[in-house]
Amino acid sequence: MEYLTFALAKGRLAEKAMDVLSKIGIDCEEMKENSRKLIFTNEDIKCRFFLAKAQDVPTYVEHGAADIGIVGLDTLLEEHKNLYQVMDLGFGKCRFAVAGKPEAADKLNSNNLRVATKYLNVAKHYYFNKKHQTVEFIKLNGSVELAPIVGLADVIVDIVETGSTLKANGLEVLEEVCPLSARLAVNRVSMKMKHDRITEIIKGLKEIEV
Amino acid sequence: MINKRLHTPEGVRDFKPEEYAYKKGIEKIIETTFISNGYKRVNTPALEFSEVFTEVGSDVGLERYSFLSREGDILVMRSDMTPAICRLAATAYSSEDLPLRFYYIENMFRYNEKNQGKQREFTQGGIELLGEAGINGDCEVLICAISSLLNLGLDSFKIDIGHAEFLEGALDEAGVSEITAKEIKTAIIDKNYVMVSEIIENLDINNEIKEFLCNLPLYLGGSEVLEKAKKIFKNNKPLRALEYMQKICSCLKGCGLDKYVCFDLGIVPQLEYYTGIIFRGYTLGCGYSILSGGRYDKLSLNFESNFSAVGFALKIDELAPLLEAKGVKVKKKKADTLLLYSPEGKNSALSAGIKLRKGGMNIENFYGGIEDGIKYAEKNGFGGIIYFIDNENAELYNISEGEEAIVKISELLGAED
Repeated sequence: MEYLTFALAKGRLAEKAMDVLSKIGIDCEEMKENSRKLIFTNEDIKCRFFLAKAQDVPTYVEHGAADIGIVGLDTLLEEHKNLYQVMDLGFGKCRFAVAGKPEAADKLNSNNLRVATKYLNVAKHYYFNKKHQTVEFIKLNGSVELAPIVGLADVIVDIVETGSTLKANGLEVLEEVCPLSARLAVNRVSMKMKHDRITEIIKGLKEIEV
Repeated sequence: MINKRLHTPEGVRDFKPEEYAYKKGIEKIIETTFISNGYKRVNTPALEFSEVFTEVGSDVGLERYSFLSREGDILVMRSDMTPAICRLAATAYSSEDLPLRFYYIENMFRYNEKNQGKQREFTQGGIELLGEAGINGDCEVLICAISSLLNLGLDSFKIDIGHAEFLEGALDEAGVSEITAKEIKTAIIDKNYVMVSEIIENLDINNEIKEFLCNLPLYLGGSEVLEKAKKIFKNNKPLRALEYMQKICSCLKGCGLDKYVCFDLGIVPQLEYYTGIIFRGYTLGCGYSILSGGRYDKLSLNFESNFSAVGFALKIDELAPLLEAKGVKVKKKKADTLLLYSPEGKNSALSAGIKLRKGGMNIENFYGGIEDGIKYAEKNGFGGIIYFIDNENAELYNISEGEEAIVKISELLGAED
C-alpha cells in the first residue's frame, strides 16, 4: 500500500491536528519523541507526517508531496493554491480583520487609505473585490501592529484571535473581513487515487465533530 | 538582475539531445496508439487570430500570449488545440466528410503561474473525433485515452469522468437561484467544498439533495456512485446524465477497462464549450492531471458549422519525467558507427559514407587518429569503427567484442547493397 502523507502547519495547529487525528486512529509515536527527524512514519497504518511552515503546507499539497494538509484558512486564502479544501476542522478559530487606531474609523472608505499587512493577497481581495476600493498596500513580514502606531499605515489587515495585542497597543478592530479556522486540504490527484482512504478520514472526522 | 543573454524566459526550456530523444520516444508511442486507432495527423499554425480562441469559453483568457500584428490584428499563440482543429474542420471539410479523426502533437503556450514548476511552452498530444455523436464516440475516445496510458507503460492511473450537464441539472432540480448556482459552481471549480457546504446549509431545498451537495467529494467511485445518486434525483436532466454515465461504465466494463475509470459527480465544466462527458487522468507520482478531455458539441457553432466533437490531450511534459522515473525505455536512434580515414583514404571514405548512410546506417565522422577514435567510440557507445586506410582497404573494429578485420572497400559496399 502507498503511504498517505500528511503535511501539518508547525506549532499549535499541528498539535491540535494530531490530537484530533488520534481520535480516528491515526497517530504517530515517533512524533512524540524529541528527535531531529523531519519526517515521521507509522508503518502500521502506512502514514507519514511532516511539519512545515504554514505558508508552505499548501505548496506541498498542491504538488502532491503531501496528500493531505492541515493548515489555517488564512494560509489557504493567501497562498491560493490548486487543491481541494474538503473540511472545516473547527479548531484554531480566529478571524481576519481590519484594525487601527480608533480615529482611523473615519478614513476607512477613503481612496488613499494605507494598509499594512502580511497577507497581501487577502487584503487585495478584500479591498478590490469586496469593497471595490482602491487603496495603497504596504507589505510587512511581522509585528504588523507597529505600522499604525508609528504612522507607516492607517490600518492593518491581520489575524485577530482575542484582540488583546491590539488593545494593549491602543488599536481596535474596525472591520471584520472573515472568520478563520483550520482546514483539511487534499491534493487533487490523491483525492482520486487514494479516494477510499481519504474518504474514510473525512467521514471519521465528520463523525467526531458532532 | 540576470544577464538575459544567458537565460531563457520563465517557463520555457532547452532540451539536450538525450532529453529530447526521450521526449520524442514518448511521443512516438503516443503517436503509434493514435494512428492504430485510425487518427490522422494535422498541423495548425502556432499563431491564430484571437477570435478563434475567444468567445468559445476557452479557459485560458488571461493565460494566453497575445500581441498586435503589424496589420493591427490581435494574434495569439495557440493555448489549446481544440478550437484550431474545429476551425480547420469547419472550413476545410463539409458534412459529407464526417466523421473526421485527427491527432496532433504540438507545443502550446500559456502564461502558467510563476514558480509552480509548470512550463509556459509545453507539448500536448491528443485526438479529436468530429461528427460521431453520443456513446460510440465517447467510448472510442475514452478507450483510446486508456490505451495511450497503458501503451506508455503506466498501470496505476485513473480517468475521472463527469458529465457537464449533471450538476447543472442537479442545481436546477434543487431550485436554487441562478446567482446561488453560480456561487456553488465557482466554489466547486475552486475545489472549495467547505464553501459549498456553507452556501448550501442556509438554503431551503430538498433535504436529500442538500445532503448530496454537502457530501459531493464522497460521490466519486465506480458504478455504485451513479446508482446511489440515481435514487436522489427525479428530474430528467440529472437522471439523463447519470444514465449516460452508466452506459459509458457498462461499455468500458464490457472491454475490461472499467478498473481504470471512476465517476465524479462534482465535476463542473471549466471550459464553457463542454456539453457532455468531461474527463481527466491522474496517476500517483504526479501532482497534476496528465490527461484531459471531453465532449463539446457546440464548439463548431462558433465556426459557422455544426458537428459534434469529442477529444482529449495528453500532457507530455508531465508524463516524460514520470515515465523516465518508472524506468520506461524508449527506442533511441543514434549514430552507431564511427567513420575515420587516413589522408590516403579520404576520398573513398567520404563517398563510401554517402552510400552506407543511404543504405540505412547511421554514421558519424571522426577527424583524428585511430587511437583517439577508439576512445571516443567507447565513451559514446558506438558499436563499431570503419577506418579507411587508402582507396582500396578499410579496417573494421567491433568495439564491444574487441575484434578487428581488414576488408576491401568494394566488398564492404557490396555487402551493404
